[in-house]
Amino acid sequence: EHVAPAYIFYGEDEARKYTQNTRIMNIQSEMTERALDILAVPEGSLILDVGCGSGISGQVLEERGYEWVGIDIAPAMLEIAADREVEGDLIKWDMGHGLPFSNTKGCFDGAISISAIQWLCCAENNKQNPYKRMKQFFQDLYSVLIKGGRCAFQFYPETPEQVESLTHAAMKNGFTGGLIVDYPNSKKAKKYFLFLMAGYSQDVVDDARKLIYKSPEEREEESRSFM
Amino acid sequence: MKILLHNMLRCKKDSCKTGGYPLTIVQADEVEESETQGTAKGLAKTLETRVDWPVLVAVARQFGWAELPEEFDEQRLQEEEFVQVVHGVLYRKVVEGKLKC
Repeated sequence: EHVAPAYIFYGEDEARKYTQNTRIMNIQSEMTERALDILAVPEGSLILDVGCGSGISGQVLEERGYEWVGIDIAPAMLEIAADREVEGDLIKWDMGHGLPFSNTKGCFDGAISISAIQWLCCAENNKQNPYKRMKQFFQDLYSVLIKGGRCAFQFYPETPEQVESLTHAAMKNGFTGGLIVDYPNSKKAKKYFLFLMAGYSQDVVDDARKLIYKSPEEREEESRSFM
Repeated sequence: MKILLHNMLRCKKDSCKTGGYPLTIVQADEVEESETQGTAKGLAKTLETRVDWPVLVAVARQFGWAELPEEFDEQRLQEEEFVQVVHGVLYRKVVEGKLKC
């Protein structure tokens, strides 16, 4: 994957291939559902989708009743998302440069990312240090989340060192949390999720617990009563 | 870009000397009205969590969308019309336009 920066890799041809492949789309969709289960924030919350790409995760966010803002570096992917007429606002942005949001008020209730943050481990060019990119991202992320704001980031590490670097960079910039590995015994199916919290809020934790301990039937009942 | 997003956007250029907030909407060529209704509860949370009220007032005035009070008064959220006016500004979409730092 890392033969070139992400926006060159996800040019028009690659973007088209990616978004016309049903298998890929289904996997991305499922991982989004899983990330949202881990995220456990109430409906109506505003979520940042890091590396939103062609809007596959965005549509799942909308189905689950969230508002969202997406950032992505690849114009070709964002064009496809725009064509899908997603509700979320889309911003062309390199997460290695931090986040373009005001930090006087916490902006986002939570953040997700599907198959994107491993790109932080790449240097932008020969001169730049990937650690600088990771630091910038996690530093800004911490400041644009509400107190106790939760993150669920699915990513594809190339090496164990990448897992270490990303986790370390997050913790160094104030986050608590941990690593979740789904299907740990299957080389093919193994999925990594970085779960992060920006500080601690009892309200946020209480809301999350209510959601996590709710049965699917209860959730169904609740969403029906909204309509 | 929803006006709510404009309220949150900041310039991240190293060379930026003015703090980079708020950005100026220099052009709003195509604007879409909000299709949704707001609720007092939802709006209260949004305003408290992530909206800079003076910036919202300025944008609403700039484009003649609404004359909002200079200071935000929580009591006014009990007025249905006020809730819908504020919601309408926040969720108005600038479909085509230009932003400047």
